[in-house]
Amino acid sequence: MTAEPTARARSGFRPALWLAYLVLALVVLAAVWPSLVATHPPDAIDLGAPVAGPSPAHLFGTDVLGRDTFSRVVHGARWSLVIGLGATSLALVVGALLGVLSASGPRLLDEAIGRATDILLAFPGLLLALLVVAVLGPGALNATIAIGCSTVPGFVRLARGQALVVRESGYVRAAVVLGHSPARIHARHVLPNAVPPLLVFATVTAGTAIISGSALSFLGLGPKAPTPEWGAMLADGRDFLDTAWALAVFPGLAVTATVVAVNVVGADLRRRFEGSPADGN
Amino acid sequence: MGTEPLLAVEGLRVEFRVGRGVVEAVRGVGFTLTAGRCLAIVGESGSGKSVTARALLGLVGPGSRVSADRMELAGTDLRSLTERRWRGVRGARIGLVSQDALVSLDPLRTVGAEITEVLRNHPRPDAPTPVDLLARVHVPEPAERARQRPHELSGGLRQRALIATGLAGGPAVLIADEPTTALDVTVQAKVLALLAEERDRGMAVLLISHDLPLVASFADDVAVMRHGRIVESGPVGQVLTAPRHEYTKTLLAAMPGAAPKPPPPHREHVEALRVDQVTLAHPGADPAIRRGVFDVSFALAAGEVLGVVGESGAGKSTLAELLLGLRSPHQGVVTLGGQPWSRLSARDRRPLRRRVQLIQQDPLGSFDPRHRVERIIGDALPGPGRAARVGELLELVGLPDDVRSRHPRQLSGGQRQRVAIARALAPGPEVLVCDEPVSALDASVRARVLRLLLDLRRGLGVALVFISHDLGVVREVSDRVLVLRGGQVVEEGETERVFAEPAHEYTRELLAAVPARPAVVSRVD
Amino acid sequence: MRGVARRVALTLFVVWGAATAAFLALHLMPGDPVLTMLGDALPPADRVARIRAELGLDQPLAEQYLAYLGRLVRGDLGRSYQLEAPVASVLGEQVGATAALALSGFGLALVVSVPLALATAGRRPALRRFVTTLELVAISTPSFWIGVLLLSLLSFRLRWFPVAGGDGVPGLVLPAVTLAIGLTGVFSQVLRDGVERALREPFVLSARARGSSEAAVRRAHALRHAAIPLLTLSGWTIGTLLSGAVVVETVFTRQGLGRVLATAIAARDMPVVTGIVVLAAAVFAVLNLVVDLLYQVADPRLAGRASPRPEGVPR
Repeated sequence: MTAEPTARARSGFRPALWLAYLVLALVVLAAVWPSLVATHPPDAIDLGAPVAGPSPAHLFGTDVLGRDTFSRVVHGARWSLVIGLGATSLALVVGALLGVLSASGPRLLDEAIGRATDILLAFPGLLLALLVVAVLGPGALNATIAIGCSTVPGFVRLARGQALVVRESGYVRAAVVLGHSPARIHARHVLPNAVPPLLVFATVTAGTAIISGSALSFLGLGPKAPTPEWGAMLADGRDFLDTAWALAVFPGLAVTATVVAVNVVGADLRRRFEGSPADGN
Repeated sequence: MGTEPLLAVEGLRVEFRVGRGVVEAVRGVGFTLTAGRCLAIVGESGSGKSVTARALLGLVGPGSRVSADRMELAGTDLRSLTERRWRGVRGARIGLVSQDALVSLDPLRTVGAEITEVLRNHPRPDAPTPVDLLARVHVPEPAERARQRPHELSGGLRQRALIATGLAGGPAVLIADEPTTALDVTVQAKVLALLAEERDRGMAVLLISHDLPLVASFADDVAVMRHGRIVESGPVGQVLTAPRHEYTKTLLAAMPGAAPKPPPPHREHVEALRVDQVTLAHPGADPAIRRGVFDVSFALAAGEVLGVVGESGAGKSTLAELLLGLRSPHQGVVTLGGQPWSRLSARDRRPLRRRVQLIQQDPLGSFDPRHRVERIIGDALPGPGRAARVGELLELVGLPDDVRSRHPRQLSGGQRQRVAIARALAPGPEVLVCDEPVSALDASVRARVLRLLLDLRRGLGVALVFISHDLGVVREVSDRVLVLRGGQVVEEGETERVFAEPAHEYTRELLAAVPARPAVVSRVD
Repeated sequence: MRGVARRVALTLFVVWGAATAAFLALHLMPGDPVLTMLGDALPPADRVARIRAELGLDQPLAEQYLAYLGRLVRGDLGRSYQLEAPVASVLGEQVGATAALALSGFGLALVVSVPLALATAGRRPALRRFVTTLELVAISTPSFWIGVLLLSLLSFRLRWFPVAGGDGVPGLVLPAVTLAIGLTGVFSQVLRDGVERALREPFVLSARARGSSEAAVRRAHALRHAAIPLLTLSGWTIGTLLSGAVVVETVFTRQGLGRVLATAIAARDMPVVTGIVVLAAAVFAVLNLVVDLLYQVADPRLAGRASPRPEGVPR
C-alpha cells in the first residue's frame, strides 16, 4: 500500500557522516601537501631514538631507523590514494568503454570482450593482481595497473548490462519511434544513463582497491623500500611486535580510517543518487 | 444463514508515522460481515481499503497505530489481542487471499508446503489434507500440483492454490484483496465463481477491489471508500443504481460504457496503414507454444479507432512493434500511406517514422529519467520554435504550462500519460499506436485519458490502434475491433456488432467472462 | 541438462584461458628466466645455454606452448627455480594447510553472520545500528592489520596462541579469525539485506496471515530467500579466501600456498607463481560450477535456465 512507512528514518544531521568527510578531507590534504601536516621529513633518520613509543617529539613513535612514524603515516596518504583511486579510475574508464562497446558493437566484438572478461574473472580476488605484479615487477605504478586489471572485469560486465537495460528501455524505444539516429540515441540516452551506475559502483570498489594496494605493499610488492607506504610500514612493524606496538597500530589505523571514510562517503553519494537517474529503467 | 454479524467494525482508524508527520490512512471506518454474504470495499489506490483489510488481521505493519470503537469477531474483541492470540485468529478464523499468487505464495516452496504451514499452525482433528484442499478449489490432479511450485502452475491454478491456503485453517471469514487483478478475464471469471461457491457454503467474504464492474457482478453489499473513509454503503443494487454520494457517481460515470460514446466523425475513407498477411514468429523454448503473429491482415483508415483485444500471449505487443516498424515481418508487408513500410531499410524508415507514434503502458519508463517535460516534448519536435510548440501541445492534452519545468516523477499517473500523448503528437503523426495506454491508471483518471484520446482523434484526425486486454475500454473507444488469439485474428468487425453478436466462440468466451455491467448504470448521469 | 553441459564447457574454456594467460606471463616477463633462476651472479654462457635447452626455452614459442599444455594435462607444472623441486609436489605439500585455513575462515564467518543477520533484520534498531557499524569497520579493515593486531595482543602480550607457524588447532585459530572478520562483515550485511527484502515480499504477508510466528516466518521463508544473494557472492567469497590466504599466511608465517606464492613472486620464481595461479583458477572454476548447480537447488525457478552470474547479464 502507498501508506507503508519507510523503514529507515532519516535525520538531518549525521555526525558520523561529517566525520567521514572530515577524515577524507584530511587524507586528501596529507596526500596533496604532506609537509603542511607532517612534523618531520619522512626519511629523517634519528639513530638516537629507534623504535620508541609515542612521545611529544614523535606523536606516533619512531621506527627501527628512528624515523618519525606520524610523519611517515602522513606522507603515506599519497601512495594509498594514488594506488587505490588510480586503479579504480583506470578500471572505470576502460570498463565503461569496453562494456558499452560490447553492448552496442558487432556480435563478434561482444563475444570477444565477453570471453576475455571471463578469463580475467577466472583469477579469483587478488591473484590476478599478484600475477600482473609478478610479471611487471613491484612498484607503485605496476601495483596500480595490477589492481586496475583485477577490478576491470566487474566494470565491463556492469557497463554492458546497463547499456543493454537502457537500450531496452521505454525511452529509447520512444526515441527510435521518433526517428532519431542511432548515434544521437547513444549520445543522448544510452551513454548518459549507463554511466551513473558505474560511478556508484566505483564508490564501492574504491575502498577495496585501497586495501588491495596496501596489501600488495605489505607483501613487499608495492612502492620500493624507503617509500612511506602504510602496508609496507606495517610489514616492517611486524618484526617489532614484542617491543613497539605503535609501529603496528598507526599505519593500520590510517588504512582503516581512510577506507571507512571512503565507504561512508561512497554510501552517502549513492544515497544522493537514489531515485534519480541511477537505475535507468 | 444467520443474520447475526460475524465481524463488526466501528470507528476503525489507522495512522502511519512517516518521517516526523502522521498520515491517516483509515479515518473511522465501520461495517459488518455476515455469514454467507459478500461485502465489497471499493476504492482507488490510496483509498485505505487494503490497510483496512490488514487491520482486521492485526498486520498493518511497523510504524502504525490502529484504534477502533469496536472490532469484534464472533464475540472476540480483536482490539486487545496479544500477538500470540492474534496468531490464533489469522488463518484459523480469518483467512486472507491476496492478489497475484506468483508473489503471494513463497516462490521457493511447493504449494503443498504452503498449505501445510497453515494446517500446522492450527491443528484440528478433522483437518483436511493439502490435497483435499486443492481438490476443493477444483485444482485438477491435486496430488501432483501439491508438489509443484507457484511458477510451475498457470495463473489461474496458482490463484486457486492461494485460495486453498486461505481456506485451510477453516476460517469463517475470508478476506480477498484484489484476488483477480493479475489474471486474464476468462480466468478471472472462474476464480470469482470459486469464491462465490465458498460464500454459498456460508463463508463471510470481504472483497477488496478497485474494479467496480467486478464488484457489481459478485458482491451482495458494497462500501465505497475514499481518502480513508466509507463515503457510501449498502446493498449492491441500491448503491450502483441510485448512488447518493458524488464520488460514487463519478466512479460509475468512469466505468467503461457509462458515458455515451461520441459518434465517429464522418470523413472520406483514406487508408492510413495496411497490414497484408503478416507473419512474425518468435523462436521460443517450447515449440508447442507459438508466439508472435501469424497471417494477420487488416487496414486502418485515417481517423479511425481500431481496437485490438486479446489475452496475454495473444501477440498484441508483436503486432504493435510491426506497425511501428520496430521489427520486420518474416512474411507479408505493412504499408504506410502507400509505401512498403516494412520493407524499407532502417535508414529509409527513419524519416517516415514521425508518421506512426507510440503511447506505452508505463509512461514514466518511456521518459529519459534525466529529462524534464520541456526537453521530453522538445526532443520530439523538429527545428526552431520549439518552446512555443511545447506550450501548444501541453494545452492540447490539457496540462498547465508550468508542467514543462517539472520532472515526470513529480507528476501523477494521469499527467504522465498526458505528457506521453503530447510527445507522441509532437511530430504530427497520422497513426497513434496505443499499447495498453490506460491499464496502469485508476478508473476515474482512465476515463479522462480515454476522453482525451477520442477528442484528439476528432480534432486532429489521427487514427488510433488501441491495444488492450480490457474489453470494456476497447468497446468504449473503438470503431472497429480485432480479436487476437494465439497470434491470429479470430474475429474482426464493427465494435457494436462484435460485442452484440460475437461470431467466434473465443469472442463469446471473452465476453462472457467480463463481469456484467449493471444495466442500470446507463441511467446515471 | 543442456545448461549444465554449457557450464562445463565454459569452465574448461576458462581454465584453458587462465593457463594460457599464465604461459604468456611466464614468457613475456621482462628479463631472461634462466638468468633470474640462477640468481644475480653472472653464470658461464655455456651453462645458461644448457639449462635453456633443458627447459626447452630454445624451441619456438608455439612448440613450447603445446608442450606446456601437454605437461599441464599430465599434472606437470614445471620445476621451481628456487625450491629446486617439482612445482606439483610443492603444491601438494602446501594445499592442505591453505584448504584448512580457507574452510575454517569461511565456516566461522557463516556461523557468526547468520544469527547476527536474523537477529537484527528489520528490528532492534539500536543493536542493528551497532552491528552495521561493526560490519562497516570489519569490511574496511585490511586483514593483514587485523592479523598483526591479534598477534601483537594475543600472542606476544598475552601469549595465548603460538607466535609463528604452529600446527593443529591452536595455530589455526588466529589466522582463521583474521580471515573470517572481513567475510563476516559482508555476509552479515548481505544476509540482513536479503532477509529484510524478503520480509517486504507479499508472500510474507500471506505467511503471517496464516498465523505463523515471526521466528517461523524468518526461518522458513526469509532466510532461504536471503541465501540466494549469498550464493551470488560466491565468486567474491572464494577470491577473498584465496587472496586472504596469501596475506594471512604471510602475517602468521604459516605454511600454505599463499605464503609460497608471496615468496615466489618476490623471488620471481615464475613456475611456482603460474602453477599456483593456474591451480587457483581451476579450483575457482570448479567451485563456480558447483555453485551454479547449487543455485538451482536453492531457487527452483532457475532450473533449466542459465543461472545469473554476479554481474548477471544475459548473453
